[in-house]
Amino acid sequence: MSPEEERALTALFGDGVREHSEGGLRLITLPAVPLPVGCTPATAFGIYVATPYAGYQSRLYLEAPVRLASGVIPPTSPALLLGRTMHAASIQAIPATLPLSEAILAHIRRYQLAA
Amino acid sequence: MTNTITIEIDGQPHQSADASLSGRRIKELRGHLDGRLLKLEADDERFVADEEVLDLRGGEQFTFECEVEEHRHHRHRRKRIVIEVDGKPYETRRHELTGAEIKALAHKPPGNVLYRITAERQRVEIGDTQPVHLHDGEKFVTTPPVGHAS
Repeated sequence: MSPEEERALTALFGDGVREHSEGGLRLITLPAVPLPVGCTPATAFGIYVATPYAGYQSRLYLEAPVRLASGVIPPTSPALLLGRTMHAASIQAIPATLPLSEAILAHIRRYQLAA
Repeated sequence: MTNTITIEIDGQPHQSADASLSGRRIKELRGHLDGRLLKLEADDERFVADEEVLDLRGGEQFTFECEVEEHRHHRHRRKRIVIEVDGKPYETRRHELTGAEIKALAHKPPGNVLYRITAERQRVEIGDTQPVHLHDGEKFVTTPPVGHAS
């Protein structure tokens, strides 16, 4: 990732953002993803898949399914990534070609808009 | 009915019933004609000659570069501040910008959503017309309005 992307991701998700490669996927680990107000958990470890994967242009996996402010828990699909079982809601049409921070924020914004 | 516009000169609001003002007229609004007039842009500043006429929309900011005794130049300029947008630094002399102006400063598409990042790493969404008082080192991020749940 570029220095600018790393700075933006660190500002958003804390120190320890790292890029990994596994099974042909570009993975970005996010130490603490603050979720929109009212969501549970409020913060979660996340892995962003910056590669088309499982029929999606990009995916944001979190360590646990998220309960929205409305109480609804959107359906998720699990994946084993970097040795951890992670969960992603079904969010389409966020290109992996976007700068990392912009793409990850677009995923998080869906939780806010659905809440 | 006459619409007045408000511009800022050295941080103070001044009203004018005329939206087309010369540099000299702007100086007169301030109360005296000393010094060279500077118009502050989002990411720059430029001198305005006395005879130059500006078409103003309101909200423009001006300051002065004054020649003082001993032929030294003293600039009543605002401190340049640096903010970060999507990890890149941008400079401005304006201490208050709207969300739309911050996006323009960083050459981001107007349709992007803008967030300010707080010291606690919380994201605060900033509307296009919302004024933001800027601090040196403040961080912003943007995202395009893409994606949908399925």
